[in-house]
Amino acid sequence: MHVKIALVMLLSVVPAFIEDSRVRCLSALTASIILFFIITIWMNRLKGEVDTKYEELGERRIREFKTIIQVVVSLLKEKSMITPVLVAQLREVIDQTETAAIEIGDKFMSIVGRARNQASVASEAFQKLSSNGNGSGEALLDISKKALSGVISSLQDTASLTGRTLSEMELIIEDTVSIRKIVSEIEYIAGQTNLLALNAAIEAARAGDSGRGFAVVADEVRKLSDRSNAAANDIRKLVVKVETDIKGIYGTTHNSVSENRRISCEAEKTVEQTLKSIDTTMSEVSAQLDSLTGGARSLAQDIGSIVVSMQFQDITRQRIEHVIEPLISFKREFEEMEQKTDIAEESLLTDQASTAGRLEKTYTMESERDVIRNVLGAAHV
Amino acid sequence: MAKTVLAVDDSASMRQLVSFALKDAGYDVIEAIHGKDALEKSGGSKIDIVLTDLNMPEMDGIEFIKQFRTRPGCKFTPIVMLTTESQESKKQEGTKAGASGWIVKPFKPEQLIEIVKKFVH
Repeated sequence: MHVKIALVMLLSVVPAFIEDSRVRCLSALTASIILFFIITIWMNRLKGEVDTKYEELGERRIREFKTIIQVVVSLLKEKSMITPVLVAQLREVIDQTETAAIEIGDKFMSIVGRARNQASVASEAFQKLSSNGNGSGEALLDISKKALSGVISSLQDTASLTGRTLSEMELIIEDTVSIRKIVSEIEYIAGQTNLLALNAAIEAARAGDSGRGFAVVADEVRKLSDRSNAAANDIRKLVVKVETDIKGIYGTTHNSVSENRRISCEAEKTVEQTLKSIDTTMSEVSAQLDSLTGGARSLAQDIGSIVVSMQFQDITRQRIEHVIEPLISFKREFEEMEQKTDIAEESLLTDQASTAGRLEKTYTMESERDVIRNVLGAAHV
Repeated sequence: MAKTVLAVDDSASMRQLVSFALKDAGYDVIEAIHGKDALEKSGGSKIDIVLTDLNMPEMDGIEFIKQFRTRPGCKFTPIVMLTTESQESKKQEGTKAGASGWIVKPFKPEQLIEIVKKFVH
């Protein structure tokens, strides 16, 4: 190469040393032509060398590029292979969430139903309790109040009646006193009559035979006075007995009236307290029932809202389906591309078993592994 | 007499929700899993209002609305779309097919009942 350059430089310099201008020009022209040919030949050789090197380089690059494409296609094939597994997993997720959402919804609806039923039963029970059950609308409490007031009133009436009986007994006792006075009067009259009869008998005896008839009369009068006296005694005894009996009854009745009044007063107080207590209890039960009914209503609304939130499942399902569609599309398009491409099949062969194995290792649940087996077959796992 | 609602949705949980809300409000509900199923089930019944999803297998909501409208006596039946699609174009497509209104999911039962009441007197 250096010799060629030196020769060229010599050729281009030599004409400068020739004196004759014609010869110099001719030499220069000849040197230029020779130089042109030399440079042309040199350039052609250089071009050949460059072309050879470029071709070698291109072939190497193509080989490298093919290798890269083969790696990429292998990776895509591997991903394409697991696409059905991913799609099946996603569909399983859809099914499981839908089943769970429905079950949750059913449970919540059941809770709402039971809460409403309980509130309704409690309300009905309170309605029955607070009414007399015959539909007249009169409150059971009012009926109870009336009945208890009636009992108190009866007790008070009984006490009053017994009081009047006591007054009448007092009158009877006063009457017995009068009767005893009359009996004393009768006894006195009987005594005086007896005395008169005795005097008459004495006078009849003194008159002799003429007074015999008078003596009989006097004797009869004395007998009558004895009988009157005996009758008066009987009456006195009876009156005393009646008086004693009535006084006994009076004492007992008097005690009974006092006891009755005390019981009646206590009963009245107890009834008032009981009615107040019933009133308070009924108000409390009513408030609690209102609270229960309100709570059931509120619970139903809350659960209704929760059930609304279950719409997430439908939204999630649609979003997953939107992921599934491009996955399926990717696999289909990849298979089409694979059919069209002339990339050596052997370079695309991928170890399906190892791919499935790697995928399986990432799963933690048996149901996930079942999906792989179902999609790729047990032999590949 | 209770009004009858035809609820069309491929999601079982959505059908459950719609049925729960409407039955609670005193309506009768016929459920269908897609447009074709809805056309078959609504054949012999008087439908007072239709609630339909748009994206369904077999027959989607738009096609169902078009076919439902061609039936005798169904020309003026209110049809409300239940959809996750909030795009105006989708609503317009449904309205053009014959829908009377739409509710975008998720919705509250009160909203659903209010709209149903608005259409069914």
